[in-house]
Amino acid sequence: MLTTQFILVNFHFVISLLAALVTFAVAWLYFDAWTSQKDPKQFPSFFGFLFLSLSFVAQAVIVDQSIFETSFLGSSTALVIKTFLRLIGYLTLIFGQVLVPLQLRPTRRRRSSATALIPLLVIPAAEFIPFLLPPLAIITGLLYLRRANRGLEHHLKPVSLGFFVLALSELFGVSISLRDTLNVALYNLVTPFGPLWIIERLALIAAIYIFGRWVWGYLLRRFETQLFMIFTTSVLAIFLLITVAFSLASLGNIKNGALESLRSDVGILAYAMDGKKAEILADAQVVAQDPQIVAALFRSDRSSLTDILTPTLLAKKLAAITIVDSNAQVILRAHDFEHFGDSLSSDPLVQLALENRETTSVDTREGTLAPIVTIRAAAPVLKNNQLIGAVLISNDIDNAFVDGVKEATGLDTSIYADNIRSATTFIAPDGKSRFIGIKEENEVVKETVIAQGQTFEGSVNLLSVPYLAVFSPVKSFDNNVVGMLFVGRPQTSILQTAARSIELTFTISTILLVLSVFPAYWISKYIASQTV
Amino acid sequence: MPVPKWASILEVFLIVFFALSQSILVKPAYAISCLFYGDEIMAPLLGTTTAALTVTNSGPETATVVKFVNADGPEFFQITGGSAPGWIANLEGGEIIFTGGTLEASQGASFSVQIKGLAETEGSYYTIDALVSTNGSVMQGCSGGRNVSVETFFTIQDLAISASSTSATISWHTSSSANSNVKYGKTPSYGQTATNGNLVSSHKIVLTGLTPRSTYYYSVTSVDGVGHAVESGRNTFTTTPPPPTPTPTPPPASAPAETVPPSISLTTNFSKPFETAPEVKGKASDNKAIATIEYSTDGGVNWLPVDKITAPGGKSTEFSFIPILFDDGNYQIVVRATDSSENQGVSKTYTLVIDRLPPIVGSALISVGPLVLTPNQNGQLITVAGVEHKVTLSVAGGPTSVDLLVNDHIHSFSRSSETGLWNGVAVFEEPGSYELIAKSEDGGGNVTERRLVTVTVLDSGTVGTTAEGTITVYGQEPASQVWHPWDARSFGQTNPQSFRDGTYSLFLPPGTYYLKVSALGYQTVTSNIFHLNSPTPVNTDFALEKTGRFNFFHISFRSQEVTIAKPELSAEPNPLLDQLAPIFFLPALEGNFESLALRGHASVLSFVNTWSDSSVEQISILNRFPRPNQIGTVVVQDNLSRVEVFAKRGGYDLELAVDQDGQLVDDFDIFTLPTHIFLDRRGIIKRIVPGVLNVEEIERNLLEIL
Repeated sequence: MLTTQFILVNFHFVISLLAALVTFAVAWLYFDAWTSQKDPKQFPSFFGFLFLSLSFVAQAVIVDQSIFETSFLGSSTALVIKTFLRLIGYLTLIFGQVLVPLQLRPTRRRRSSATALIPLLVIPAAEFIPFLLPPLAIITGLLYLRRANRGLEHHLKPVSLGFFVLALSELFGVSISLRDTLNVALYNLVTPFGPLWIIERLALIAAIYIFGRWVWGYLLRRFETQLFMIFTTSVLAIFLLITVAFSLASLGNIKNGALESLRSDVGILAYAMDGKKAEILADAQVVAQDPQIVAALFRSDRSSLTDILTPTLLAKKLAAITIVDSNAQVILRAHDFEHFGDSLSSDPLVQLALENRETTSVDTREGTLAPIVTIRAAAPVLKNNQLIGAVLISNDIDNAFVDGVKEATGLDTSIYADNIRSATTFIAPDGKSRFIGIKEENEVVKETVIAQGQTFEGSVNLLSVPYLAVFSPVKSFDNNVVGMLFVGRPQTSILQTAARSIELTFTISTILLVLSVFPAYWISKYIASQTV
Repeated sequence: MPVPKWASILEVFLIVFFALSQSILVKPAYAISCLFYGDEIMAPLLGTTTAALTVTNSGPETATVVKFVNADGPEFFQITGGSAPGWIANLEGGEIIFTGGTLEASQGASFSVQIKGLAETEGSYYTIDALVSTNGSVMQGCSGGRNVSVETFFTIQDLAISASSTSATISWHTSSSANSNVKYGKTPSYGQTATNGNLVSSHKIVLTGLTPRSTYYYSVTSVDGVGHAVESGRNTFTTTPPPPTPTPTPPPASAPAETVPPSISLTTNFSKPFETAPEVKGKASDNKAIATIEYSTDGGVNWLPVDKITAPGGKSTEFSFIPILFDDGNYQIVVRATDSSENQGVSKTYTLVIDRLPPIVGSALISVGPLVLTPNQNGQLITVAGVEHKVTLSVAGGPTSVDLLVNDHIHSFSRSSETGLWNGVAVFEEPGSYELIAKSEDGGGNVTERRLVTVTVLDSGTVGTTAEGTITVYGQEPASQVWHPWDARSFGQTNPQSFRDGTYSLFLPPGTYYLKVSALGYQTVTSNIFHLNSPTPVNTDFALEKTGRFNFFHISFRSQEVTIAKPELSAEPNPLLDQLAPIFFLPALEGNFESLALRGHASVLSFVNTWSDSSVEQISILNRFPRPNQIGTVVVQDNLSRVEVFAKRGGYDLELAVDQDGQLVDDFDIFTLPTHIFLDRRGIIKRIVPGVLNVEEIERNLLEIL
């Protein structure tokens, strides 16, 4: 889908520049006519086609706004420039057609009524200008048709036809104003890269073909012009080839770069988790070695333990601190100091701590809406090298944790308990809630990450949105996969990044292309002068 | 004047046209008729009966199609199947059509048709009609009809379930002897059955091989000796998490010289409940020497040494211990003794019941997937039919079972050992109003029932046909504006959704959507694009039109507007309104909280918990309220130590009172948290507002009740 859109963006760029070339060639034809006849009445036609050519240059750099966020030229600068240049182009052409007298046939002498149209072309409000372009193109075409049919300039019939087809393209282009519709069928018709979008470009291709075929015949009649057009066309072809190839390579690079970046991002997240594990284990060790705590535990002095450990719990922002004696009986829960006396003998971390081993692990426990991923660490408490108990500390990997990672690194992440989303930085469309509790049901992800304990990289759909994602396993102390880390970017955002780069490429290419006209002109003129 | 030639041609043309149109438009007299008489059919309520329906062909032509239809709609009974020798039965949209056989002129034929009663028809009769046809194209109604009445032949009572991690025992009673059948499975269509053919009035079926921590749907059916059946309807239960793996006992370093384990007996009488943990006494003996004695209060998962052994190292000794148990509940007491040869003997398991309080249901949280439902201002929950709702309840008093009664259905809950909350699933099958009642029972035999909330299930959306079809939801990705089929699975729904008798139900999260409705033989209808800012039920009625003969390339720009359901709700005033609020005293972080302190000015009493996001958000808002003397905040069913740590962790200066047992929940009829009780200066309840309120909303309510 995104690749198709990408190809269409390049298609749009190529078509627009070809249109610019062809209209420029027509402008050059009129310029050539002026240089040979020195008739200032050729000026409006020359400028008219030149403006049209420049408007197509501006159109080439418009990468569809609704898909690719905002252009670096401004939200609609290129669109405004294109529209006004096109408007001026048509008006100048109409003016030129009215200005240049008709080469009347001897038998017909009827007063032209075209001037009556001029008063209708008052400058309207800016928002209506796009709607004026199709009728202006038709009027231009009619004026050329009049010149061909009622005058003696039959050779202008293809130009007239070209404007009619161009009017069709302009008409479909107006459909952009219907994109706010609530009618699905209409929306799908006028959507970016939709049927009307494509028809608009196909009509433009037809117009390019008609204009190009017409102008090519004339331009080849003079050696200098022929050389100039060959140079210009060659330069355009080379630019187009390079730009499109660069764009495609750029997309591939950006996708690979995004995946590489995600891979490193998930590494950062895993590193943050490992850092948290190390931090919690260190906290457990500090608590276990605190002489006051050792003394209080030895005395089973719950009051002193509460006084020491509750501030520790709050200062370290821990979820829980539990102290057990050597029988695994809970002496104190700093997070819930009214509950004690039960046994934690089945807890593997407590078992290991009571065997004088420090351990840290990632585990999951039930929550209200979704399971919670928690990091736990246990350390033995020794007095005179005699084991008298253990400390068990835990902290939840919740929304606050992933928000903290996002604040530090800018990463959007999710944490899964098994395959259920437990915490996430992604905000729901209402702008405040987070969809936790959602299951990741992609079989490949589950098989790769949860069953095999390996990292998954690739495209996945999350709540119907295509993402480029990396999932990596979260393992407990005994190497069992208990959850997943997720780092991903919507594929659209990757295309947006690519589009920004492509837009820049298109713009620079277009500027260089326009500039290349001048050396092409001088070289062709020089060569022509050498051959005389 | 001669008649022009063209006029003659026109005249001939008109005559031919008239003759042709007459031959096409005027139908021939239909030459088939039939009789359909018989006694009233008695269908059992929620059970199925097989009726013999006789149709007599009273016309001159042979009938090849016979159809039976429910003439009064599907509310009271349904035709669910049928058969007849030499005929092929086909059930379509509540009608049964027999084809492939012949019913000769002046002859009769008998058809067996299954009829299921759905609602009692006291004093009213509903009818089955018969129709016949020679070729199926035009059906001719028969004279007569068969009345159907739905009656309760016998009933199912005392339906109860007890679920563990991998098994469940379902029991019920019937008012007469009948067999026992259970349909069960992880989906509403069940998939598995368990049956006992014995005709009994007290039924018990044990389901085994279940998956831990899973919700199962089940339905029980009993059929008596004469074929009358009763069915419970669809209920749910949730299996518990798997028990932790017991700590493996390391094998002895060398083979023991002897292998006789110690024997243990407890002398404490556990037959009656205790208010506090008693001293448990017992004896242990061994042929060699007792080394250690340990006890467990959770059935052998975690162990502690006993407090006292009178003769340690002796062959026989007495021991005693007082388990430290704070909360009401049923505790599984097991004692094990290890002898000097590492042989281990384990006592039988005793159930110690600590019963200080009857079960008290506190607050509830109802969610659809990740979407939490909040009651409206009238305290009603609005939802749609057919969607799975997860219900989480906090219950104090150590219940051993919690059931959610939803009209006639029972949804059995299981307790999470990690959160202490009770979880289950409820599905509202039909539109209407449902009373949710939590029924809980503790080990002391105390049973309490508490009405939680009224759930209004909106009418399902209709599509104007009973033909098979689907409704598909498309959601728009905000960034690219590209449409994708909505991921319904994460929200406990399906997409596309197949029609159920021409209806559908959707509950959509915030986003931008459109709907596409398709049915076989009908033109596809597309809705307009619509935006939702909050979780919303969607039940727009669509009117599908039949596809024409030449609609192969039909493209329509018509779209139907989606209306967002805003049901007309009864505005029955809460009986607590304008009543004097009860006076209470509760422990609080800064000493004690007295409700009288709120008198003398308009005030708000906010009930919250510390485990739901919305309550935590509310506490944060209340903490910023500029006049703390006008607010009282009560944390429901939590203990003071946890609340103290919670407040310190969040940096809240707010005075939090703790209602550890949830005694006030019933007094103020609180269902969901947070809920706010607005009191005037005399302490009279003026408003009850559920949900999160911001500072401005609290201010406005206080101003309005002055």
